[in-house]
Amino acid sequence: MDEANKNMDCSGHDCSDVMEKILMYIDGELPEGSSEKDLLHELERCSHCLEQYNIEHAFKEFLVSKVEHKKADPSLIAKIKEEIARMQV
Amino acid sequence: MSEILSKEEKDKIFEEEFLPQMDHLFNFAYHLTYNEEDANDLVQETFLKAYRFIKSYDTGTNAKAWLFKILKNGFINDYRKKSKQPTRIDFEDLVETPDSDESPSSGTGGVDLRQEIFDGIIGDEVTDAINTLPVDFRLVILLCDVQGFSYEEISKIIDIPIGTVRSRLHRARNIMKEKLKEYAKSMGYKAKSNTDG
Repeated sequence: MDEANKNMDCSGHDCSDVMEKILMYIDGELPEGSSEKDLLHELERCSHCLEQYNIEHAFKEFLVSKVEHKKADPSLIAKIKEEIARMQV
Repeated sequence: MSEILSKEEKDKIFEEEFLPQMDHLFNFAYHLTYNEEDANDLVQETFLKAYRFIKSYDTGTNAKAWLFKILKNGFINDYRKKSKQPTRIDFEDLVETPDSDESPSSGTGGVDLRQEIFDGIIGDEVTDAINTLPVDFRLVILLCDVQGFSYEEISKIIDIPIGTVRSRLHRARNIMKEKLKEYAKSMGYKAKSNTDG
């Protein structure tokens, strides 16, 4: 990537607007097509925005991978079914 | 929507559409209550309500979102009683965040984030950090990042506009980053300087 053409200070585009799109993109909420293309283009042009993207992307991956995934005890299902059977009496 | 369902029809919906969501619901309940016993009670209450009001559910649609909404409502009702607050809980104005406005476009909140800081953090610590979030923020983080619901689904589960889902997520993540960074520092993980690799 041509460093000379990279913006360091987000001049020429609205950084806050790009940030909003970064968050939507990371959450899979940015419509495919031109919105996604425009965002990727902005990230190529602006190293500050690219860093923001990397940070947000890394944090989401971290959160998803680290958070505990608790499972219900099998006895809970039995207890629920018992209660429902009682409801129907 | 069926007006009258036979017992067999109800049981079929319950077995095929509701019970497969058990672990997701328990995980959600656990992260909300931070207590396994309370989570069990909340999940049980949710399934009983779901069965009782099963005719309100459109068969074959989004059972997970429907059940999550019931659970969320049950949790909030209990939470209000315990905190003795008669009105809707909204801690957003009370939480000090680097950026206090609703705009999602407020950067990373000034957190100098380096992946290395977080490498040593384990799942319990992330759960702890989630638990310290105000309820409104905890809900969106859990629904989006843990459960994978879309903004639209979250909007319906919590009854807030999609724009508010986005802004709360952004602020919740910034708070989480700050909390985890502080935790990592307190455990002695050192942030690498900007000049490193």
